[in-house]
Amino acid sequence: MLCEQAEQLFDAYLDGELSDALATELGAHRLKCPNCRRALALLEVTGHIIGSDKEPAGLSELFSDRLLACVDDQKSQRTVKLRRAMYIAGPVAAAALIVLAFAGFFDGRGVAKVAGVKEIKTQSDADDSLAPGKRDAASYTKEGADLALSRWIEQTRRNVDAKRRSGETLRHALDATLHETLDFLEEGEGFDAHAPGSDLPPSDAPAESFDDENAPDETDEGGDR
Amino acid sequence: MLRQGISVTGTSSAISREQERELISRVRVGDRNAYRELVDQHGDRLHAFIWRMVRNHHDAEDICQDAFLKAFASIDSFKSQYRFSTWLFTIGYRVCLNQIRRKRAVSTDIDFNALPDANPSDNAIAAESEDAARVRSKIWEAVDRLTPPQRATVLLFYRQEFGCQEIARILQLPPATVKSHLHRARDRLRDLLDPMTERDWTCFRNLSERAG
Repeated sequence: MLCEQAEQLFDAYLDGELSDALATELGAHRLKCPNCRRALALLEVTGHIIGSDKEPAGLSELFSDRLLACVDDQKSQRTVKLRRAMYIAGPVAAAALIVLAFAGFFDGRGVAKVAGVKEIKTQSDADDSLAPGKRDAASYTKEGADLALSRWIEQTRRNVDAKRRSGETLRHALDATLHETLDFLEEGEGFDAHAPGSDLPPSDAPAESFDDENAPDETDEGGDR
Repeated sequence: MLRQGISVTGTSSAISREQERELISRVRVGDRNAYRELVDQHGDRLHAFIWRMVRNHHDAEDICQDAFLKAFASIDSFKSQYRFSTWLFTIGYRVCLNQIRRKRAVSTDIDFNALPDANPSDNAIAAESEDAARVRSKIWEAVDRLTPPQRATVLLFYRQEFGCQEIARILQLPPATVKSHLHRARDRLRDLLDPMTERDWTCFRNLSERAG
């Protein structure tokens, strides 16, 4: 066997993939060739040292604790994100429900009543009567409805805030407000708006933000199970 | 004469595949104790590999932590037909490569305090001759001069005792490329270590006899 042929077998020999016959042949060549003997010895010892040298300092003792704390932190961050999304989605959904409810039940009349509009007119009513001055009443009614709706939404938000301030969770506050709205709609009575905005706190009063401080702590449930 | 190294696989072989699968299903439902068991099973082994790649204790621990966090965050995507260690090392290697690319100073950023020979309480190492220590040091310096994929292949093959198929999965390369990396790494190590002094070579021969 020539040195070139022997060198081509080094990898297979070191990986243990050489047939017995070729391994014997390589062994014979190794005995009589100092260069190949040296090369193989170098590779063998290098592999031995790489494989067996003492490990470096291991992981610190508190590694697992720190890692688990990070895992918990990641979980709680995901929960907070989800909760924030719910806080945004919740009021939006409530507002959408309110709009739909008003549109469905009152066809604009109830909303106008909320706004304290004296003359209730829809666009179709206004179209029936083209007498001078009636068109103004119709547009007045529509503007009033828009105003009433925005005020009602604001009122609802403040009701929710007030409930939260009294210690209720956001979910319960939203539930209670929506139930009140549904009860009111089922009764078919006009919304008691008093004078629009009269029962609202001053506009510069700090409204409680939808933070997660009072929300149920879901992360506690995600602990040891 | 397959691999000259002794097993450094830590305790990962202490649990069966069945037990590992059970642990992973517990992790999937948020069982903290199962997390801890998996970390205890694979932490030191992963750390040893990463430390050899980056040669810095703090970086190695950070990479380990990052790898475990990524693994736990995507534990649902783990396929149970593979070993967890293969999957974990795949993640660890990717994080490691990113770190190496960021730092670009691997071989000059060696944490000498964490080098294995620095442990004075270890009598075996304290008793080791200076020549042997020098040869060991030369070998590791040569390993540090391999390219990251070659270094990873050599470490996974000799130190972690993975087969070429598993190394291919970890490095996300075809098995033939892994073989090629191993071949080129050996050639490079030969080139780097061949011009040793006669004194080094005598020591090398002694180590070789001890290894054989």
